[in-house]
Amino acid sequence: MMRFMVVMTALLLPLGALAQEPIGQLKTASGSVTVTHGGAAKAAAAGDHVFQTDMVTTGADGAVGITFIDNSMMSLGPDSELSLDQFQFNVTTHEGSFDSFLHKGTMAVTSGQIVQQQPEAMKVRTPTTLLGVRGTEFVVRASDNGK
Amino acid sequence: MRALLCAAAAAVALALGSVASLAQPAGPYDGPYLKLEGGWNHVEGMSGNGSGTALNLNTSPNEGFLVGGAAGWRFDNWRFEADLDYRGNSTGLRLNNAGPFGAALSGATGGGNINSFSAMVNAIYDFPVAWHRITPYAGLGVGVVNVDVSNFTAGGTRIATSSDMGAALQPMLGLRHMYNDHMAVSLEYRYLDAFNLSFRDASNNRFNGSYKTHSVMLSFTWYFGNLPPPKDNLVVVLPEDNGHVGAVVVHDTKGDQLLLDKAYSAAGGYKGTGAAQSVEVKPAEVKTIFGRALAAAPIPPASFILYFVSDSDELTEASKANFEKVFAEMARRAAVEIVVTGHTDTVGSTAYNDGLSLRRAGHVRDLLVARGIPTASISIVGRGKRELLVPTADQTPEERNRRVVITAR
Repeated sequence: MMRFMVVMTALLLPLGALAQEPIGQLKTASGSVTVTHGGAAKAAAAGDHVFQTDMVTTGADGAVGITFIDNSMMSLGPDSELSLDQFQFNVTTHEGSFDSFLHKGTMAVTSGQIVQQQPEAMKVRTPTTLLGVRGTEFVVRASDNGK
Repeated sequence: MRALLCAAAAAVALALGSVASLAQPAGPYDGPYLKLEGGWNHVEGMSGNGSGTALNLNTSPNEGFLVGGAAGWRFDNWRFEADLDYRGNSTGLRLNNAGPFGAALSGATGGGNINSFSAMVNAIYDFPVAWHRITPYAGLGVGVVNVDVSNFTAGGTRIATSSDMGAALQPMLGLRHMYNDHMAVSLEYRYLDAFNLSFRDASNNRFNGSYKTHSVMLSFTWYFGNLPPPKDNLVVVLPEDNGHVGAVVVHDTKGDQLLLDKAYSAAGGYKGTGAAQSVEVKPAEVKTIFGRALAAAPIPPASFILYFVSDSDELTEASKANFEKVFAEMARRAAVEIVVTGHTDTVGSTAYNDGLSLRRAGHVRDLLVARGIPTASISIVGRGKRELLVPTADQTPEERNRRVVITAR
């Protein structure tokens, strides 16, 4: 078991190194807000950075607003869960892609430079839909009650 | 022990299930409906008193019938309907004082018919609970009723055949069972009370009467409204502050696409069927559902354009003022990042201009650092000739394109 853990850690390290650049920063946070980074959940506050593959979660009293490095913005209402599955952005060419998954809850989105450069390069998935974002402002709700 | 646990789990599941059904009764849905109703009608005994004569008569309570129908509209848990009913009863009659018909008839008995036609407007509230698709409701109707007393005869003498119309109230209480999302059968108790009725007796004198009925009836209702599209899973395109509206393409799990490109155009979807469909959403609804998420939105990034005096590192006068605005912008943000982006005109190669624009951005970063902003919170970008402020052909000098933009976000 120990050996397995060591091997897994060795395998994961290079991936971790790739994902070290922050992709965005928490600009607002109120109530219970958690960012899960590399499997570790931690209470988060305004000023904290988020990274590719992070999961952002709010509690019943929580809300959070994030601005990403392409100037796109996402904000979550209470009882929400958002995973930042994939984020690539070239600051010089503005080419990139941004895939996120709203597992549950409510979210307001303003698209940024990735979408300006290439419509639908930003995608928001929910349990029922895949949203191709052409711009600019929209809100989305995902329910986890099976309806 | 295991069996007991299973039973307990089943009981909890059942309780949770019934709570869920209490919260969200299935059908009917908002829209028009038609109803047919009929049943048993009990008319209370009436006391008739001659106005200006000594006539005094009593009718006996009687069991008769009611038939009718209604057309209405359902909104949320309210129903509003126009309701027409016919009630037919025959009754026993006793003249306590025959008045104008002569003392000999006092004490005579007989009978007659009391029929009525009512035109009412009912407001009905469906309680937002359901148990096996059975929902209780209560309502109140106001309107007019035309009451016919016909062939009132006592002791072989015709006493009255007359009618009068009066205002009436009808409270009601019932249970409705939704057979499916459109068809309902209801069992209802309804009371009707008409006011200020006045009839003419056979000698053309007036007498006052009352009309109170109790009905127990069955009704069949067809609700035409359809299932409102679900909003549990919802996406709504919002207008920007400047009035511009973007677009979102909704791909559902069935492989269908829906383009939302108007302000407040929206799609809802079921997890079960995977279908997304267009739904109607009002701005107030967006505020209710997404208020917290919208309130948590970051302050949008703010950008300031800087120009330099030709062939120098010195900012133009207008740009110096812009430069100062950055600090106010930073002050109103809880967590702030500064991005300095250099741009060039189209003279030279892409690679050359990338380098040049990055150097210009670096110079402005130095100006910010000199003003006490930590280097770590500033990033610099060289966009080269990719983002022209004034569109030109390639290899065109244009000083308005040679600029540096400071963005606070």
